[in-house]
Amino acid sequence: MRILIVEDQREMAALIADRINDAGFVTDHVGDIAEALEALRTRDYPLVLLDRRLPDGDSIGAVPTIRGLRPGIRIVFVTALHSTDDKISGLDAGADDYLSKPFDADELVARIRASLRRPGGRSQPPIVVGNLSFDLEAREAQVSGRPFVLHRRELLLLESLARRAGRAVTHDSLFEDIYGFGEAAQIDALKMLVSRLRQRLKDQGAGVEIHAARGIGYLLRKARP
Amino acid sequence: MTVGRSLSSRLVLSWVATLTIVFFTLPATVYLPLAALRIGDIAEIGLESWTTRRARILVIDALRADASGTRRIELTRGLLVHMQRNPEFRFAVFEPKDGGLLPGSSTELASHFAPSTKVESFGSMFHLADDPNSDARGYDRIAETPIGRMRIIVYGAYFHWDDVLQQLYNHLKLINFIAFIPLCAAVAAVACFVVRRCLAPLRAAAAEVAVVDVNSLDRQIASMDLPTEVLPFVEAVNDAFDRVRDGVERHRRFTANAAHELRTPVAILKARVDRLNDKPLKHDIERDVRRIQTIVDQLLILARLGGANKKSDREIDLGHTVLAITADYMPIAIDNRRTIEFEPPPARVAARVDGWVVESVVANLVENAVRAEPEDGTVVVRVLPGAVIEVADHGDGVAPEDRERIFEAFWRKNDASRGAGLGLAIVRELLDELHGSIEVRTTEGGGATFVVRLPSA
Repeated sequence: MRILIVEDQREMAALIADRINDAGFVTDHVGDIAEALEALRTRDYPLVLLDRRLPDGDSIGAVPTIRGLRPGIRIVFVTALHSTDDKISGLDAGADDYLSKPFDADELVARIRASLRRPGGRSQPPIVVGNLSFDLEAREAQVSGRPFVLHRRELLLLESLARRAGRAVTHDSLFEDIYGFGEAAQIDALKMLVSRLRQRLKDQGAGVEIHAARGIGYLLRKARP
Repeated sequence: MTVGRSLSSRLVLSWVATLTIVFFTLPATVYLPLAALRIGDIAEIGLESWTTRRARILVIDALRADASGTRRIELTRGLLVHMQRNPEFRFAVFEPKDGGLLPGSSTELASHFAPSTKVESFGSMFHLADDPNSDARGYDRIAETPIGRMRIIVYGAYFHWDDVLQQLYNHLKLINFIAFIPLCAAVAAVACFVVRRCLAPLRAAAAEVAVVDVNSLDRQIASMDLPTEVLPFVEAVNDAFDRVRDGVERHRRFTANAAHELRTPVAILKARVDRLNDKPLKHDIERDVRRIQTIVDQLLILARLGGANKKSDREIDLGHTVLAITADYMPIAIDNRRTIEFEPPPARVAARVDGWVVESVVANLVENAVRAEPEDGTVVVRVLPGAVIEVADHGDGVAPEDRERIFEAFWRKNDASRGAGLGLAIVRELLDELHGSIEVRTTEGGGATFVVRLPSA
């Protein structure tokens, strides 16, 4: 899966690319709007990371053109402009998400995954944390290459945590992902589910840990050495 | 307001001084020209009548009485000089009791007057009908003299310029002073009244200016009711406000731009650190980068807050916003082997404030709390009804004497401590701008609890 990075700061672009490559994506980098449009004409990117201030102008104006070229493309603004108004104008212009610099790399990857997950998104590379690998397409987990079989809710919990690996996932998001809207969910049920999953991950030697924070939620990350 | 610099007192002093001069020089400035030109001279006074008083005084000075009680007029030097200057000058002195003419009197002049003992004339001006000089004036009057009451008649002196001085001197009478007092009082009262009245709008303007601070520099003093004389001053003040506002605005733009420019290098630094291998040093650097980022963000926010729209028209769900920020700090807390906990409010708490301000404030406090929290401890973040946010750690706490000072820019406990640097100062500044508040208390069981109050919706 190929992602286009439009960023005039070469260094910044390289660092973003590195991080996204680690998450299993392939990246291309261009430095201005004209080059970006050229790249989009030649290749069908599922997602573009767009800096706002580029040498040939505010990229917000290019959004309709990009949408015209590639109707299904996900557009995520990554920019140093930072205020609610800027954010709103970016989203109004037709962006799918808006991330302000400096951002957390895990956050960026989670946002990219979330954007691609929306209807119309494409297949994504598996998420790798420690020895654990989660295939979002097949909804299957593997530990060190071996299939890791889980119950439905455990799998949903793991997916939800893995999508935002390294970041906190709030109780509310977890309830939504695991139980759906209609189902009545209890925090105790979630707690038990987490502790079961934790045990299974440990048994399998997945090399990950699930941290809990009262009142906030859970966080999946690579186990500390 | 000192007397010398008060407009009212200056005005009153000037008025009184001017009036004194005008009032007591009236004989020379008004009566003399009028008499000379015979304007409004119903009593046929003329210039020559001005000489009679002086003449009478000279005559009175010349009255003598010897030991036997015989009275006479001595030709004193003053009288002689006067007679030399006025060849036509004559005088006569009667004793009012018996009508006797004092020796030295002009019998010719006396012959015109009946030595009546029945009538006491206290002043009667006359002209001798046979005198070809129609301007000549005489005066017949009973006066107290050193030798008793005498009827003194003088006639025939010419007008001399030094008679003006005499007249001016004669004008300095008690009665004139008494008449002058109410005049001065009236003038002073009017001056004070007019000054007060005209300057009332200026006082109102001063009250307006008194509340101007760096955030309300767009105010202008209304010049509508002001006296035109102070308009240049008011305009100058308004212009000065404009210039200061421009300066502040430039300064703000500079801060905003500088902070904005800093974001990209910080982002690069952050991404670069992210590439480092997991080592304790990485956490340290990450934490430092985060601090830089928070400060840069806050500078940007401060610069922006100073701008026009300070009051947010949006209402936010405080519990929701604070939870999101706290959640962002969970990985950081875990990296540092601390935990973080969020206590939601019992019911939805709304605040009228921009989300990014809350983000900035809470981020700073949580950042500090995670640093202060001992290993394996738990930082607690709470949202309480009334738009209150609490961030509690279980570290060393803040000594009571430092509770104000920690909000000063670049304050630190000691040289060894990292100190909050700019962070808390900016938080306080932000909250001041928003009419919120922040204070620090002791956490139950030890540590610091920062309590933030925001304007509730």
